[in-house]
Amino acid sequence: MDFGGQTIDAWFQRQPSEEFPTGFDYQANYAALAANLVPLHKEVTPTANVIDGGYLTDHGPEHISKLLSRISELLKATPNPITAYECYLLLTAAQVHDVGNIFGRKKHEEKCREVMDDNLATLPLDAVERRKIFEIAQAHGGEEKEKLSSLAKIEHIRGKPVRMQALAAILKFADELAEDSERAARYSAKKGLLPPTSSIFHAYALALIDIHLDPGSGIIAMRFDLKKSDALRAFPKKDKQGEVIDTFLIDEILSRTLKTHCERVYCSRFMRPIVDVVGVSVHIDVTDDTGYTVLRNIAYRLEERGYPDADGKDIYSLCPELREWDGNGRFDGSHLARKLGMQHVI
Amino acid sequence: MSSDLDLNPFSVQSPERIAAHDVLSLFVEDFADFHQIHRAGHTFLHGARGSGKSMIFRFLEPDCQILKKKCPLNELDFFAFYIPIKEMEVKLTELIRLEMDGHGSLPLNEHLMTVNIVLKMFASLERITQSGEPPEETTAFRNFISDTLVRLLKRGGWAGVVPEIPAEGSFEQYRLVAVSLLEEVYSEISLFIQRLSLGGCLIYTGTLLGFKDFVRPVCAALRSMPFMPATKPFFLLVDDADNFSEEQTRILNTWVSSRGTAEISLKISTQRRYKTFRTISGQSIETPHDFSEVEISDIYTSDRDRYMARVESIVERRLQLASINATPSTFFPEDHKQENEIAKIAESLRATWSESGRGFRANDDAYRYARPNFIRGLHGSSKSGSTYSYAGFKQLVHISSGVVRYFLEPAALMYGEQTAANEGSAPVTAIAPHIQNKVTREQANRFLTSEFERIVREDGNLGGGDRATKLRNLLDSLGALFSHILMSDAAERRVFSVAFSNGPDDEVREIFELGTEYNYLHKSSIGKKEGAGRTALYILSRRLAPAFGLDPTSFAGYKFITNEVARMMMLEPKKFHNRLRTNHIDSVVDPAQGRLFEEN
Repeated sequence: MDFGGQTIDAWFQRQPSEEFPTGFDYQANYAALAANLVPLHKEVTPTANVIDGGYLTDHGPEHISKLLSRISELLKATPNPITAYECYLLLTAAQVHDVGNIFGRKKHEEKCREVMDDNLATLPLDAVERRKIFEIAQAHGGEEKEKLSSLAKIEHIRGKPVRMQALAAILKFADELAEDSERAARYSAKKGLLPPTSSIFHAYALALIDIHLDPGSGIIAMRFDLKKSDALRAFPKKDKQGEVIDTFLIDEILSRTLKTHCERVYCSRFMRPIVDVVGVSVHIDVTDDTGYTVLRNIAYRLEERGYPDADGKDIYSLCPELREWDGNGRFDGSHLARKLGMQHVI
Repeated sequence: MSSDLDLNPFSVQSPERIAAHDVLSLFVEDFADFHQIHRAGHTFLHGARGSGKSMIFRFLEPDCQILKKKCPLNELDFFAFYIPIKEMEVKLTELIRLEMDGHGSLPLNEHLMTVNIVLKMFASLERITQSGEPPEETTAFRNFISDTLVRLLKRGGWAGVVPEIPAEGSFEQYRLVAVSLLEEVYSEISLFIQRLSLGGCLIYTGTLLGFKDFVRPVCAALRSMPFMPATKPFFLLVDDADNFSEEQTRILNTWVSSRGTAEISLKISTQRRYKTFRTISGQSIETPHDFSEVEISDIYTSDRDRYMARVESIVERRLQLASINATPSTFFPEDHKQENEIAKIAESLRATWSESGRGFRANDDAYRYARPNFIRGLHGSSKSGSTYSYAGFKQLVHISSGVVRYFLEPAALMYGEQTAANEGSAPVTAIAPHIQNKVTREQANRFLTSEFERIVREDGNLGGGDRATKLRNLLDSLGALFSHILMSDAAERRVFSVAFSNGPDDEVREIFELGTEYNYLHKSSIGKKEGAGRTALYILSRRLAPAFGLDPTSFAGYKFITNEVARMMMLEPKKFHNRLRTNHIDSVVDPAQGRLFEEN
């Protein structure tokens, strides 16, 4: 669907009122809710940082704008992908999906309910509609990975069919893609002012210079650009057990792009046929520290290949090009460091 | 012992109302084949009405378990809440309007189920009070109500007023506060649904709760109480889940499909009328991936010795509780005259076996033909099998068809008749054979007449059309067929089952399944006649044996029939009866086949 060069929220506001159930002005109230939440979105990152002690990448209004932009990209390849009413539920869920972070990162996806309760004036009167917004929003994250399948495929809300699984999947995958260098604390990262175990997340965001969907091929293209010094640096990162381990940025990129692949595979089950994304293409340029000379470039594509007997957890089983990189075995952070011919700089 | 059991040792009470010490006395623990029930993990427990599902659930409740284990609550291996599903409470017809008008029937149904279940959980906690050992340390329970419960309700949109919660109350007082809070939420949704029925507005502004955001956290908070077994699983014993509507069933299945069985295990009993195994997203839940499954009736109908032993234990316990000094066999004696006659026939068969025997051993012939020959002899002399006596403990167990209640209910009636016959002058120490026979025959006739009328009504209300009539025709035809075989000179005369040599078509299968649903038939499987694969075997309930003058003591024999014959049985029963009278049985039921009895 052509959004006329605008994002989906502008399209939503142009829809005739007959497209919505009666008794509530969905368009005006969405606009009011979005405006009301801007100050709160601005508070999310700093307050979460105080509560959790780290330094989150940006969860402010720009993140919401980016998310809406990603949703628009995903939907524009399909004619009439969602109804105006579904769009309302999706947009409202997008507005509230991350606000729970203001109470701390843990179970943030469930805590958006509290913020919704504080904004009842701009939300539908009907408790069922509010719950559907909450369900779409909360499915985007959390410890439990398999949330989409517990939603109904199609539900009727106020007389309108709503594809719950698809809407939640679109939000979840768009959120996965709403990551780039604009979310990073660029100056603080450069000056080494970030908490050590948060720095790798900002380095990742800074390195991700572009991400877009090629509507023709259905491929998500992710482009990273990192300087040699960052490629050689071992960042401290907490693992799942809370242990701090040294991690190369390249290994973080491998791990995160693999997660993007998993999210794509998982969400695609529920997004099709509204959204059909078939693979993730990754291109990494490693430059000298001036940024003018490309020293190495690495490219790989994450997609389903052949018979699906690989467990999908190992990036090397998915990307044969990484198994024998540059004719010298598996590609990883230490391999790249050796290639760059220098000692680790910490 | 409770008063009902004082009056009649075989009285069948609703297990919900049986006190814990009586449950322990009456319940025969037999978990060998269904150990999944008292282990963590979701389990479906299928069984006919009266097969003992509710009694198993009652036995799992904490008041029974602490008596059995002789330990305090917090040392139990699990903590179970009994959740009976009453049709009227969950299947509110007004909810259908939500489905028709397309507004939020899933979340509103889930809310209704959630409130109903948590309300029953709090009601079920009364067992702790009844156990005589309610927790003395009640502060945690009070705090749970004032903090967690109220917080969770408010999170779900509840805007009611928190009632006064006494600072120094008893466990029971606090429990009643929790019940009243949930009742208030229940009345909120009830009122909304009532307004719907009056054509009210579809917008619901009340509380909205679900499994994940209410049932789970409530269970987690309860588990942390000092009197609870903190690390052990919670069981929600959902009894009679067939009473859920299809949409509610899909919601329940969605709960089953969610992980976390270490915290909450759903133990779901059904009467084989469970509507679907699909979730709200359309996926199927499957065993063993999502749940384990126990079919009580299968266990007992496929292992008659085990069922016999179980009923024997149950009767022994009931006799002991009533201080009746008798064994099951002496309390329900056989008709000695009849058994002597049968013994004589058996002896004669043994004596002539070397010349005219048909089995491999003399005893085989004696066992196989003595009783059928006796029944045939009765027909020969009086043209009626009605003088055969259905008395004797073993015969009564066979007639009960694998369902304990079908033994106990007639036994209770027999006890009543025997008490009247004794005119109160002598305690009942045995049931006279003629009383056993009379009650057993009456029950069989009732099963085929007044109970069947209920099916006609129910199935008619469900839009079943003339299905009940077809089923009745089928049962009469099967009874006539088996009776003919019993009177024949066939090698195996004690036939109670049929399998299809071709088909069945959808219409025929539907009627056989209807019979299974109402326990007139049991379903099993056998190897196909041609040898590859298996086919359904339909066994006539032996409760009907007296109605058709059949020998209930065996169900080894079965008969292959064609789909066309089954149709004739259902649609043209007179034609079928006429053919039976004028033709050889083989040529009637399975004309395409050369042999009749293809026993494996």
